[in-house]
Amino acid sequence: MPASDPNFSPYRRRLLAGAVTAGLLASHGLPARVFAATGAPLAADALRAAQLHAVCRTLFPHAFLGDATWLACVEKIEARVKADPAAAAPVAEGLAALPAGFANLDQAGREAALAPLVGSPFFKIARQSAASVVYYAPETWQALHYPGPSAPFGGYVDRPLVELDWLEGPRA
Amino acid sequence: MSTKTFARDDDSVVVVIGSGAGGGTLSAELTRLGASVVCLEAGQPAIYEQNLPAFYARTRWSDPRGFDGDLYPDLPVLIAKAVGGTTNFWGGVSLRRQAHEMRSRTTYGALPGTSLVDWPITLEDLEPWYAQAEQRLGVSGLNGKPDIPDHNNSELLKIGARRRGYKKVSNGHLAINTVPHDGRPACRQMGFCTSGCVIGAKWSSTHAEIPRALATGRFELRQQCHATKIEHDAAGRVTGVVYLDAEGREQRQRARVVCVAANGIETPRLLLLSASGRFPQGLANGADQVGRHYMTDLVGRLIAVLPGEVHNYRGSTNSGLVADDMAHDPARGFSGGFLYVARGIQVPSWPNEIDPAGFGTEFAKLMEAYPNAVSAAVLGEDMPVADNRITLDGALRDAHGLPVAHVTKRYHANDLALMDYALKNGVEIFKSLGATFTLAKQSRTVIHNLGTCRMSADPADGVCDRFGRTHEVPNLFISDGSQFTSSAAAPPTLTIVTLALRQAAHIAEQLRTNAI
Repeated sequence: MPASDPNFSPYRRRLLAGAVTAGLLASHGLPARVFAATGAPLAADALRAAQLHAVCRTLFPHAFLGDATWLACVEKIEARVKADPAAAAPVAEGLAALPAGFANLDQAGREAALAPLVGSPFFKIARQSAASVVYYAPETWQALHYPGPSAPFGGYVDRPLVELDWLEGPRA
Repeated sequence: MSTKTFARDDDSVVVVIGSGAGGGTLSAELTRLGASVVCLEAGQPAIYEQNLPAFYARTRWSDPRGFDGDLYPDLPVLIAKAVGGTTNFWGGVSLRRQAHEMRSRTTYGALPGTSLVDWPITLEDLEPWYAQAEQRLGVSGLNGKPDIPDHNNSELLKIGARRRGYKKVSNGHLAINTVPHDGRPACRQMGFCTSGCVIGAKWSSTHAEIPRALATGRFELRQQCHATKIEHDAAGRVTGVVYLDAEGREQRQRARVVCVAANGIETPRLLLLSASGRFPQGLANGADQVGRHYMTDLVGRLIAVLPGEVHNYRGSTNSGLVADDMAHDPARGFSGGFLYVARGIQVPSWPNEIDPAGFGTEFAKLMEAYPNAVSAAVLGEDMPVADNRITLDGALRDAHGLPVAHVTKRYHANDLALMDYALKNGVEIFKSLGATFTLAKQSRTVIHNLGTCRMSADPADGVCDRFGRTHEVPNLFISDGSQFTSSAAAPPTLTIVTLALRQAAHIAEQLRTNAI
């Protein structure tokens, strides 16, 4: 479940601020995405949020997830950095290791850019944080036909436990 | 709940270190037989929650561990630090050891590189105690207790296995109530067995043994009390245990007998930390056997995506058993045996079950196949190797400044041959159901820690005798899986409980006759 209401998220505000900045520049005839990618017109923390956002949606690109989940992932990473100062340097180093324009690459390009970082402290922090949001998100549980904790409805003992009509072939 | 307390200078008590399968059962049985017991438990009461990653994060033994060898560096070992110990985590599979697994050196021969010896006891010695343990735990499918009901995940394992020609296919035997038993309710098929059964239908020391011990009025449980040293007198008899209490203050509990049941990693660590002038290599370690012969069992994961929905999370996590391969059959190319057991996986654990480093489009597709995923585990016997061992780490320290355990485990060629065979054949079980994707790999985060203070007939080969009493110290006992001389295809908990019942009767008799 998202850690907090994304409407009040500082990262959402920063992203919006970045988008506004980029939007202003776009009004000068330059595509906002380019500036989001190069980062030049964005505040440093907005760039960082945009990069983390792109990293998280690259990790677990489920079509059923929306922006609120990715923002919650970014918040989770930043909360981890805040709680554990030892995580700050690996995250900064990981982001610095991403190619310029990472956020503007397509999914395949971003996956290729992330691949060399697998196993790095940055990758572990990002993946662990994102997984702890994505695989608890109500949208994910719904998409995976998973009800979550079973104690609230008393378990499955009074429900059909064997439902295998689809299975072909002998059973005995 | 009893409020019995014992004075710290009361040297008539038995001190039990650890409150899990071994320590909890031993405490309950010793107090029933009239002994007074102080149990030192390093952890707090576990808070149960149907959220496995969160439960583990809160309940596991989180000290760092030094490490060498084949285990997963980020989490080589998963055990609990909580009242009830690792019985909070277990799935309940309760199977007896087989006769040949008590005579492993004789049966398997001198496998190069192994340190096999036979147990100093036989299956016949254990059988009456196994029968008691099965009654006590209310094991399903025995003693008139119904089987755990079928569910998709167990039914599919059974159907696939029958299609592949397996014969010993069943719902297994679990220490999970199928009818109310021992003051605990019947199972509601909730899943989540391994994150602590929230209704206590699964046997755990927490729900069954600790309350039983407290009810005798002869038992004191001291939580958040971390044993740091076992002390002895000039005659080499233990006299008490030094521990750090919840406030970090050093305390000393005197004792007539000390029983160590702190899991196969922390038990040898405590003996090594208890080195003294008389026992310079560690307590009961004159033969350099403490910590050696470390076994983990062999654990494998089998996952497959099938043409229809499975919902593997429903029902008892580990019911469904294929037992044909538990026998020793050297024609398969290895010694020892293994079993297949169904294994439900909840969504929050799913990404790491598939691949702890997995990401991207293909990985997400696999995650989205969750509704159709069937899952099982392999559990097999691994071989004792003298240099697979627990030592004190040279650099890492715990929160109290004490050296943490250093874990060395390299799998033997026999282990790898067994696992390879088990995984290949396991995949065929799921392919017979029309699997469109299969995953088979050995788990390198281990949950069973065995053999590190093993029983032996000859004091040169091990740490303790046929009742778990250490060869060198007459009133010091090993009371957990550390005393296993060899591992087995069956998981260890039922045998740990069985040995604890047998040991309690022995200690009570020794106390009664003033032999210790």
